[in-house]
Amino acid sequence: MKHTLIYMIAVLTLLSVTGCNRNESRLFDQSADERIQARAQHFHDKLVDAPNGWEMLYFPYPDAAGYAFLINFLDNGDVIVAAKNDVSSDNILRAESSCWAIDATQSVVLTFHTYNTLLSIFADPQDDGIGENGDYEFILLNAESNEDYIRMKGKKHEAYVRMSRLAEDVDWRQYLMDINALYTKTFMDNDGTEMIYWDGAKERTLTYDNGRFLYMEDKKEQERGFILTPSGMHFYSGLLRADQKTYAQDFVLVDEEDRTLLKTEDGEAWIGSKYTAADFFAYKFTKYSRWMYVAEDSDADTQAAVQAIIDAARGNGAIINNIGYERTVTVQTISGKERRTYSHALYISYLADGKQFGGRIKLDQTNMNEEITFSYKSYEESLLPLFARIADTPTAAVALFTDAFCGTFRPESYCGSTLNLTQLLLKDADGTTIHVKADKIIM
Amino acid sequence: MNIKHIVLAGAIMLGFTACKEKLSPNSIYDDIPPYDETSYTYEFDKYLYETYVLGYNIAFQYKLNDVSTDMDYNLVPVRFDKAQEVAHTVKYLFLDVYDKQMGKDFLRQYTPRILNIIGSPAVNASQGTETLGVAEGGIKITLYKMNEFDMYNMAWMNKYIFHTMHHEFSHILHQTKTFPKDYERISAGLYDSQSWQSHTDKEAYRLGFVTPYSMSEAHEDFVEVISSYITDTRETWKDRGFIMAEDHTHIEFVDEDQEGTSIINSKITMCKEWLLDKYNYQLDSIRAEVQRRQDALTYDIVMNDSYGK
Repeated sequence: MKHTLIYMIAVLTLLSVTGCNRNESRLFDQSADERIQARAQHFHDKLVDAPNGWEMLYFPYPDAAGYAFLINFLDNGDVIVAAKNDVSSDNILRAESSCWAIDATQSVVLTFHTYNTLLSIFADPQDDGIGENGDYEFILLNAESNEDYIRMKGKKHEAYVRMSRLAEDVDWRQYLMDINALYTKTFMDNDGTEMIYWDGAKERTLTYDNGRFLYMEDKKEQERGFILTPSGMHFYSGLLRADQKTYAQDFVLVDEEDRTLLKTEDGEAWIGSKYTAADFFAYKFTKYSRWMYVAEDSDADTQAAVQAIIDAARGNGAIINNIGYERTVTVQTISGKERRTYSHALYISYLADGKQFGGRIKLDQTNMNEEITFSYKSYEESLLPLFARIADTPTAAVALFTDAFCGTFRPESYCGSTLNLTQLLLKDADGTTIHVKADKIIM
Repeated sequence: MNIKHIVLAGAIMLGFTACKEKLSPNSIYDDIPPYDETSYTYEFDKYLYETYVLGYNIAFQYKLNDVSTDMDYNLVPVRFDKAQEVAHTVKYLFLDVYDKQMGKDFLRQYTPRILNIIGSPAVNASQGTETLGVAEGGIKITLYKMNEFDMYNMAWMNKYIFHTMHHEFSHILHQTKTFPKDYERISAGLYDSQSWQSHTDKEAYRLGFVTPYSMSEAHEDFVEVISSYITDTRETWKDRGFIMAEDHTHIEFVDEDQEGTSIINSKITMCKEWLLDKYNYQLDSIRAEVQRRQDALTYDIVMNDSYGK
């Protein structure tokens, strides 16, 4: 009852404030309608007054994987959107025109109200009514505070969207290609890879998952989506810092002497690879992995040697599909204890007599000081039909493969940073370079 | 809602409503013409303005405004190429049909004022259901899923566009003049407003309804008969187990129950008589014109407006 009385008093107070008294002076110079229209006009003018357009950092919903767009708003209601991503442009650099408008019916809203393949697909409900869970209408939050920056919020899914005015000398094509280069160096094909997050005081494990990191915070698995731009990596919520209060949101790529890191501007927090290239190649798979040989960017002698094998096989009716290093782990439980046996091989798949074959040249492997040594051990009989097509004896055939693929190698990242070890260059002291790509990795 | 919320809500409402400011009658956009010559949508916007707005007093809306749709759905705009195809096809298979048979004034007077097309389906994710289209008070028709529009799939177009349009148009007609009371007596006692969805097509036919939705109530039944009669091809009727007579004037049942057939035929007859009596509207002529156009449809004819030329 006491509370009810307080509320009644509050109501009466409010009534006294809001009651109609035509003699009172107005709080604002303009009516509510005039104010909202003025705000809409201001926003319209600000968007149009960007000769080279805007960079839009778009998260379909909070902490989803995000995407960068370049957008130019024209005064006639047209908008040009450019992007390169795997969701809406098939990873091809594309630009597309559509329409935009400011809607001031309720609040001031930026709407992309005709279909634009690059943007609309994120809001498309698809068959399940949900789709990517994104928006095509955005509530303007700050049109006035910063002339070069706009913050908006998705009308339905409420993800914040940041737009920054692009400098006039930014080349759109180069901007998107720079993102692509950064993506290649860091996260391309890197799904499921564990990385380290140093929060400034301690280490945490992050697992990369298609534009997001999964990690434990407050004993719960958290998802943290981010966007790559030429300036670095930008999170939606960010990763918790050592103070347990603030979040690291923006990171830049830093190439240090022996590793590549994504670092915050103050350098206190960073993300780096959990493995060295040799570790990643040799040891860190717990079950099964295969690294496929890639001719491109292997050295000329290796390419010639492998091509000679392929040509010999083809000349005698066999087609070699793949060659790759393979590592298998056999787990046995003996007296309650788990015992793991590792075996290594060169796996070769080929087509002969209308049938698909696969077989292994088994290898011994040693690992020391970031170097890996492969040496011949034995071969499987399923390779004999192939051997008969490429050499006079199985021993001679095996030698063709071991000459090309055995030796002592120092693995390096092919992608240009230790953050992305999904493709490697195996280099030896004599100038041999074998390009391999992780084909099947079960962590 | 506890008392705290009630009181505060009341206070807030009073705060909003106590002082009615005089809103500016002028929109800042009033001086913008209906289409902009420099826009990439100019040709289409000009077509819509000249054909739909000036021709039929219809606003064909393809630019999506969420406020004007059901906010419960996740939606996206229609693709620009699809919007153009839909606009031309609606003209070809709906507006031109009535224009030829009934004259422009008839359309200007009775068609819904707004045709709103949406690119995505309207999926209710929690229920797993999908809304094909929505009509609001004879004023506005909203059509969903237009990004999947296929001009060469007549069954799809009838399901997602024309059945709804003829259905709603017929509602406007019967709401404008006295509804035939005798019609309500044909299937009296068989209407099931609560659970018509649970009936199969076959059950509906057997009971003398052209669709399960017809079973919801007599007015819906009335307009479903008209729209099905106009749009559905002989093949569609055959799929239902009926044969459309050679002269397209009635149906014959081929599968089972003669009673359902005679009921549907009596409904068709009553619809024809009522439309002729009230509007001088010959249902057979409308159906014949629609069917002729369905048979003659090609992309070029529709998009170039060259039927019969």
